[in-house]
Amino acid sequence: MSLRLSDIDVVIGDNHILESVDLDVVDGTVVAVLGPSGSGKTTLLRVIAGLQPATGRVEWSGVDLTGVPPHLRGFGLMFQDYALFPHRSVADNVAFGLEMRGDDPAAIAERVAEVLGWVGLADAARRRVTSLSGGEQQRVALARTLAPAPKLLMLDEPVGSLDRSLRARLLAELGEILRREGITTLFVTHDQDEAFALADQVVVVRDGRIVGTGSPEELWHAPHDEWMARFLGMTNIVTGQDGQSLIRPGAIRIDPDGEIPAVVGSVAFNEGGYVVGVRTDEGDDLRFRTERRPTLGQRVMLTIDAQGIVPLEG
Amino acid sequence: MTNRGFGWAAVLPLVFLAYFFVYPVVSILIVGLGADDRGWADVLSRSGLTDVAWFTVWQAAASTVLTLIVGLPVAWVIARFRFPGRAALRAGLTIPFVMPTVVVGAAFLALAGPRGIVDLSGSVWLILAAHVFYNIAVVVRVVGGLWGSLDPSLEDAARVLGASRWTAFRTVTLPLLRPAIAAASSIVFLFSFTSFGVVLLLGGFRLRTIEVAIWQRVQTALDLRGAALLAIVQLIGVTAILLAYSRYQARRATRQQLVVDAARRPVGARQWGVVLGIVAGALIVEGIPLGVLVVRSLRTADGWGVRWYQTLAELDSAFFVPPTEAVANSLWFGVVAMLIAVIVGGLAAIVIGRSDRGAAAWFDAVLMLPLGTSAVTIGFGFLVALDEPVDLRTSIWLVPIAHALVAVPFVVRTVVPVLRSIRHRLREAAAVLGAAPAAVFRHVDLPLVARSLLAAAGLAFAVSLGEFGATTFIARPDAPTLPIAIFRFLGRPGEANFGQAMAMSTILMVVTAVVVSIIDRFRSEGGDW
Repeated sequence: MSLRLSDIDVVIGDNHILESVDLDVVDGTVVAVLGPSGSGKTTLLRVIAGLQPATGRVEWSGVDLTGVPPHLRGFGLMFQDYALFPHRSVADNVAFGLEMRGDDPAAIAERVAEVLGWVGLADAARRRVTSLSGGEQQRVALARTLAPAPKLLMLDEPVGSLDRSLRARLLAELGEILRREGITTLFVTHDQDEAFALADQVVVVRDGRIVGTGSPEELWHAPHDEWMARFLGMTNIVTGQDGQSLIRPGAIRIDPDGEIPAVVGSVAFNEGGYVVGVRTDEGDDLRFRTERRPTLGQRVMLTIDAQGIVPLEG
Repeated sequence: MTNRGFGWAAVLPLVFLAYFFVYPVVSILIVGLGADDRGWADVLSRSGLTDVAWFTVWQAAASTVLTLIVGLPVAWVIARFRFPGRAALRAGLTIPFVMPTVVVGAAFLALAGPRGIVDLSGSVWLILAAHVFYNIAVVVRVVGGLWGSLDPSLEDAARVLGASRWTAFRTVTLPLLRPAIAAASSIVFLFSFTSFGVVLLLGGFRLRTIEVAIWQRVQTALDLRGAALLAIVQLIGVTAILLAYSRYQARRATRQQLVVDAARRPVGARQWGVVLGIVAGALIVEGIPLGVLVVRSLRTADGWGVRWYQTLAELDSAFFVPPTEAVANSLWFGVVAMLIAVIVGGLAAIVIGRSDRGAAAWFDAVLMLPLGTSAVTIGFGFLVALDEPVDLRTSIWLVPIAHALVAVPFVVRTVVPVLRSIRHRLREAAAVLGAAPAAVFRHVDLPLVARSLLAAAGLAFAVSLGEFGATTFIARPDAPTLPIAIFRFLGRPGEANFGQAMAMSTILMVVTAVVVSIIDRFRSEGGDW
């Protein structure tokens, strides 16, 4: 009961959208596909769903799915724009997959009520989907995808089109449902916070290729290269004699006894402290937090703890 | 994968079009251009081509200019201002546009014919007035549609930068509206160029468009060759107009729509006065002819009453059947034409709406041909072509088939935009949720186009009810439609015939208005007719 992709290639026109992608999703885990926009994440989900032809193999529990049309794969896909059916009510949207399966009306009604309960929309069953807010539409789309209990749940930027405060809340709710129900999930996002918050395993894609795989902790502690470090939001990258290194922001502090001279270039108040940007005399730009506000243009001395320095592969 | 499995749907529309449109038109070409002892020029000059062509062109140009003069202020008011009854006015203005030509002709005869309130009979002004009456709706829909979506802050910006109200309009709004004005003008010109029923009824025998001349060649001179040559001239003219239109249409499509509805309430007594004045003017221009028609249908020699309506049920010497049977014929033809048009047009719409734009474009263009070709040409083509291989000319089915042919483009135009507006994502979502392709069509496409399909059906019915040009050639004497019966009444002298024509026109007007208002309820925003 697991998904395996081997050597997936998608070429559209002159564009290599996906290139030699191998991926395993183990039963009961949540896997995030993390990459910048245009990196081929959505295409990957469409290949798995059977909506996008590709070369290579998509297997479920060892069975090759090539030639199996989308409606017979038994996977769930929640679209980024939700794709709710405008002519059906909330409940009828959620019931669609169950109807297609031929469930009897009583069982459908029961399951629809259950799933709408999970997403907190039990009272909205009879509403028109066109009258819903963005957050409510997202929940209906999730409920519709969950209702037929798909073998594999795929989510395309599940909270991507919502505003920031709503995003955090829905992400927490989503995580709770996925853990409680033990649903095997593959979701794509461009936001590393989302990926790290929800996933057991994170797969980083860049230009159609997988460039790194690991648990959130592994990726954070040992980003593979400069690109991944920057993509994961780590900007303190310096070049020394033995290649590039990453410096953890927590390892840097202003210290009159320090050995590294630098000039303060920016100061921003943030969550009770200050995020300071400096340029060292060597020409490296570093960012870190301080408790006291330095003055713009002030010359300071820095100390960097040795254990906060992570070497990067060239 | 979008058009997989839907190619078969193209077969029926193509066969229908080939047999009932291409074949008749080719037959006209053969009759017109075929060998004969008389030369083309000789035949054409004996048909009075020069005078007829000149009149056709200049009256169409004059109608277009007059329609713009009357229609643009109305388009402006509806696009830019919020006032009580605005939606009703916009919907109501379509009613004259869909009125059968014979009803409009009868209404203007009631107003200013020999028995009218003032006698302008035989004057070209009567024809021009009728064309303006018809086409105001085109200007309001086409120009007003764009006008209403233009961001008013563009004009405000010009005002702040120092432009007067008029300069702002001239330098900002007018250039933006130009493609829509050009498109509307081409449509109005085309409709006036191919005007038949109105000119036949209001022009006496002196004022003739090419359309009327074709009819006369066939009906009074039995000169098929002359008629065919005139029809070819007409086809060339129509093609030229349509080419011009499609150029403007393409340019118009590139315009970005800026806001959904920028109308504001009029401010101050003066602005209210201007707005209400224009609204009142539109109501008078559009309302009076139809009002007079109803009044005349109720006026008898001995006071007011419904006598003309009652006499319609009696067997009439000039008809083989009681005139009320024309009502039954029209309704029955309308239902059959509607079914044919919805099936043929619906299948065509599926092909066009669900296949790639490039592949569908030529099919779309082919299906629009009957709309551009005049109804008289279609009727005349049926007459010269459909005696072989099966003689259909006396078949009772010929009339609904001709009506369906005229209605198919309307059905396609109503359904395709709605079908196109369905996001493909919805079909994919259904597929992922377990719907097989047939189930996707049934549960996603069909419910979403159902309303537009109903609207299209109503439209086809309305087109059939009012169709006159083609029907005059193919209706059997014992099975007249309402427009044919009205035309026959109007062609005969006497108070009673005129009264009965008024009564029948009123019936046709009411039925059409009812059908059209029902359509309006079903019409979704996507349709573009």
